[in-house]
Amino acid sequence: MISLVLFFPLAIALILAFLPKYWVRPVALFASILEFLFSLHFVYHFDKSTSALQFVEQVAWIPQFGISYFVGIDGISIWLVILSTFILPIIILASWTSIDDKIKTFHISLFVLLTAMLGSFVAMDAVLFYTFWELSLIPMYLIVGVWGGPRRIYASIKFFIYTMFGSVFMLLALISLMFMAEQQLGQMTSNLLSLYQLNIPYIEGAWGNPQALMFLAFALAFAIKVPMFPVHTWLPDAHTEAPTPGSVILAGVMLKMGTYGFLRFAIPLFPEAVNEFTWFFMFLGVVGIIYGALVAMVQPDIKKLVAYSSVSHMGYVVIGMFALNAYGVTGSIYQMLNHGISTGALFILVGMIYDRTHTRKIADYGGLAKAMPIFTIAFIIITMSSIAVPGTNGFIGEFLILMGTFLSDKAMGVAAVVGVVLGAAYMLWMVKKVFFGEAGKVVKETKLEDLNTRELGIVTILIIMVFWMGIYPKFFLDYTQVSVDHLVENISSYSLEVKVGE
Amino acid sequence: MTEAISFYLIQFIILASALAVVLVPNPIYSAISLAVSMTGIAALFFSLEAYFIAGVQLVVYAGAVMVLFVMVVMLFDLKKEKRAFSRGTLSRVLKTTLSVLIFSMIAGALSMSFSELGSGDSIAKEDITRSIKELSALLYTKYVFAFEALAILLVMVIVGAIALAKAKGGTHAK
Amino acid sequence: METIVGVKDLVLGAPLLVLFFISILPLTIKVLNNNKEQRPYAVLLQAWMGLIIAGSLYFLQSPDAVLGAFDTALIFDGVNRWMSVFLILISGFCLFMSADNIQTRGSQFSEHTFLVLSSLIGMLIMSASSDLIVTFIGLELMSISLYVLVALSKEQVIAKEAAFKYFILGSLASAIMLYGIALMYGSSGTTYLPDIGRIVSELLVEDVIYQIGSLLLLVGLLFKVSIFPFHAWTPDVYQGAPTPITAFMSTGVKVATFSFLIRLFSQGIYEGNDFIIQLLQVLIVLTILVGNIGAIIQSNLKRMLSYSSIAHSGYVLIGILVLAVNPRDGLAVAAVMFYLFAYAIVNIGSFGIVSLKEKDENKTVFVNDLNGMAKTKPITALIFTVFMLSLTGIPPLIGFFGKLYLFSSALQYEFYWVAMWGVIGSVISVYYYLRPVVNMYMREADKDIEFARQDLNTIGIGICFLLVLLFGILSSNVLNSIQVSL
Repeated sequence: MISLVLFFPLAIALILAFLPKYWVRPVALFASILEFLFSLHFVYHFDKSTSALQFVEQVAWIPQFGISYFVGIDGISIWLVILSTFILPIIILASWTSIDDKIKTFHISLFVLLTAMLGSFVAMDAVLFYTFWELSLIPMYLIVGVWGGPRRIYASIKFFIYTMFGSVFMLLALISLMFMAEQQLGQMTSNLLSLYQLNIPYIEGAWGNPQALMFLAFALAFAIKVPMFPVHTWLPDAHTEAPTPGSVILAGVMLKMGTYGFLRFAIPLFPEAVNEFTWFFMFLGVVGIIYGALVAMVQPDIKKLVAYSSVSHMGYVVIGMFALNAYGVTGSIYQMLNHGISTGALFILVGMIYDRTHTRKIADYGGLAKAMPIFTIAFIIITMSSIAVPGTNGFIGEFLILMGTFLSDKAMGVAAVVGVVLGAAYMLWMVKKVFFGEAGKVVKETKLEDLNTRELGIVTILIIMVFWMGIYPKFFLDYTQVSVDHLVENISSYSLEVKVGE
Repeated sequence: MTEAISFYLIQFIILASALAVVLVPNPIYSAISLAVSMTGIAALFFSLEAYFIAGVQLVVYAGAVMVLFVMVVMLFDLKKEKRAFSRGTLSRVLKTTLSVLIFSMIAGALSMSFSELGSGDSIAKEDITRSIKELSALLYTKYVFAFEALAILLVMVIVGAIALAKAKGGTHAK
Repeated sequence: METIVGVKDLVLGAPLLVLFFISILPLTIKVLNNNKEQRPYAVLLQAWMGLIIAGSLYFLQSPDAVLGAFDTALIFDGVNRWMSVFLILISGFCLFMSADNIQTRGSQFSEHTFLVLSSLIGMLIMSASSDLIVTFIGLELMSISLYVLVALSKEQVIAKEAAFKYFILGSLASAIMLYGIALMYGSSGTTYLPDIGRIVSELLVEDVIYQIGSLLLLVGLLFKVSIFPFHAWTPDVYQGAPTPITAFMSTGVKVATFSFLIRLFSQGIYEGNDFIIQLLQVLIVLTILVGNIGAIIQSNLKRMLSYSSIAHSGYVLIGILVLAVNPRDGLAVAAVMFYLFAYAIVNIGSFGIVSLKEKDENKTVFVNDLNGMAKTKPITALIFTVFMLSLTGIPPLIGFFGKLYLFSSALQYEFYWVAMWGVIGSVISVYYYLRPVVNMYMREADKDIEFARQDLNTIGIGICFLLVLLFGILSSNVLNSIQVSL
């Protein structure tokens, strides 16, 4: 089943290449909804009582190296898979009118990107994971570079090289792990479950020991992707220059690949190194929160503001993760989903207004509420979610993260709370500037139409998710509970089993 | 000791004439310097007691190849280069002296070798013929592939040279 | 005298014989035709007949046989069989390109084909030889044909200059190599590689002459594959030569020379030679750096590809480095062969696309000439993108797996520094490999891009593209088959 979900988008991409132009959008939309329904199979048949890997498929790929096509889902990855398949139809709907050039290539890129992202979430073999990880770079590069803003080429190349730079060190660490597997387990393999059982030498306090180096190599790759301060500088450029659908998928799903990587690879594989470096990553996370918030506050461009808010929000995810307790990790997974929904929605809303006015400067706006009331309501609701107002999904996530952080390191917790306040500050300030007050240039000069049916539909779905996740999180958290508990309790000797049978 | 001196002397001749090939502007001088270089190499072979190779080197290189070069050079119009030929009494004296010296060296060597002919050096002759025999046996058994591959090389060089000469740009561009 | 040469040798050497006779065939026909040049496709057909026959003769040998021919002057083993068939394929594709490229399909196409096939014979000899003298002959055969080929068709000064550079520097390298061979013979008493390998441990410890000789031999060979600091000729020569010849040089010469290097190192010629091991490491890192950084500033597409091929030689040398430490390592040999395969297909395809763009005789293709190609020629743009990405080493294309195998074997012997620079080089290379992709997709064309009608070339490119995709996914099968035959 996983293979179907994984490669169906690729098949669609191939089919799209041969369709006449008018068919591309409807077929793409239909296929993406179909894909989402396929992925719901996982939700219905997931066994919430076990932490073992489910829906597993394993086929040998490069036997000489022990590399296999090994995929599976557990509580940590299931909602990320659903998030990816959920976001895609929304993106296709959102870009219905805004992308009108080379639409075939665009949709093909989207589907290839979906396969790459799904692949990295379900891959249980390290080399397979790396393959999908790198594969995601190309369609993203194309999306930003072809349909983006004026500095798109610079932004896309920066994105590509930055991310790849981190990944290649991960590759080297990965290969070293494979050799270690050969020494310790008797057979070279990149199967993650086997790698979990490795006893990687660690020397207390010394920097040059294998475990610390490998951990840092993996961590570098993931930190660049998250993005964590100080390797976050590619994100603002990428977001500003990317077209709306590009931003949505970047913020909505791709950033989660980084944090997922931490949870799946860096933390379980290198527990002692993690213990040593926890304070460092927590610190970086907090810095990201506060720095992101502060910089967001002074942005004149709405999209860049949201981009920096992304950095800030992902900082929360990071500190939740490195709290290394059930609350923190659960919160960080939940916040991953939340961020996908709410920041994705923010970008979609910004895109909608940009389509109408072709400017993103806050100074040009003002008094939008009068001209586009429904849009205003939607925007404010999503803002609430982003700020973590109780009742919205953001609240649950942040609450859990803060609880986890306080349990593990009080100082960081306090700093994180400061971040919450700052987060509210810049978002509300932006809302006030854009929607309320005197009518700005944009309102006076352009004829602004409120949301049309398609846009209203997208926004409604997202708002429903915001409230569902905010009011009844138990539905979602039930799936992740057992896996997270398993991870947190067994960090120092983590291992996963495979659930037998479908 | 004498071997060392003669080795370095021969080397000097070879290198000097090789340099002359490249540096001297007059094509006939270049060709003759190349011939001298080849003769020097033949002398090296002699000192290594590889008489057959030395003979072949002289006959093929200094004899056939260089003569071919000189013939081709002759086919060019060399009025300009002729002027480079040195004139004057001093150079005429030098040229005459040198040619007399070389001629007498060759005559003396020939007469010496002829006078030695009958004096029972048949062992030396047999040695030489035996080594040639062994050489040819080796060429056709152990190194036959190398030998034949060289034949391909030669064909290729011929075709290549002709193709280049007839090419649209020849060896000189527009 | 015992009979050393027999029918068996003729049978084993048959591919070479066949190729030689077939190569003369177009020339003969031309002569008989009163020097009127045949149609290019007719010549191509004759050449391909020969290639196919020669290639099939290689398949007659059983997969794990190790056969010596001509008193073991040539040794045909698994490595050699793969490489020979591969060389034949490379020549075939390059002939496709030549038949269509306007610079080479002129009135001297028969001579061109003859020279290409002669060069191929030289390459086959090099990859099969186990005797230093035979190697030298093969090397010269390969090189001299190429010197002539570079000079043959174009009228531009740049081509003649390229030919001259290649000729003079190449002859210098051959002379150095020959000197090294002489020294090695002097110290070991034989030119037969396995014999030398057997007594290496005594020679290395004592004999300075042997060490110098083997070093000089290596220098000569490294020149041929453009390793730093013997790489300076590559950009000029590749740029000046006609594009099909550039493709032939950048792939065939490397495959042949590296397969001889494999033979050299796996016979243990450099076993235990710490100096060579250190030297190789330094050279690898510098080559990768020079190649990648040099390519960044290039605006001429061929020149960029030539700097990239310098960098790729550096990567392949990593595998040879591993062989220096452990001459019996099968993984390193398989990795080298796989990488060469991946690199060669992509290179031929890329140069093929460059060749497509060369409509006029003396036109050079700049990276900017590719602007906007995605709109007018989307399939070609896609193929070229795939080639560029494969050269970068993005999964799941074939280039990634090549690098994976090479870096794995490097890490296995703890060459961490080299592997690290290898991956850094890959990251740097993203910048200049993506530039044509950017131009094709993200910029607008100044004028319409026209291709000459080059059917066979297109077919060749298409095949390469399919191979790239296919073998990326199935790389393990290929690797397996290579290892089995070792």
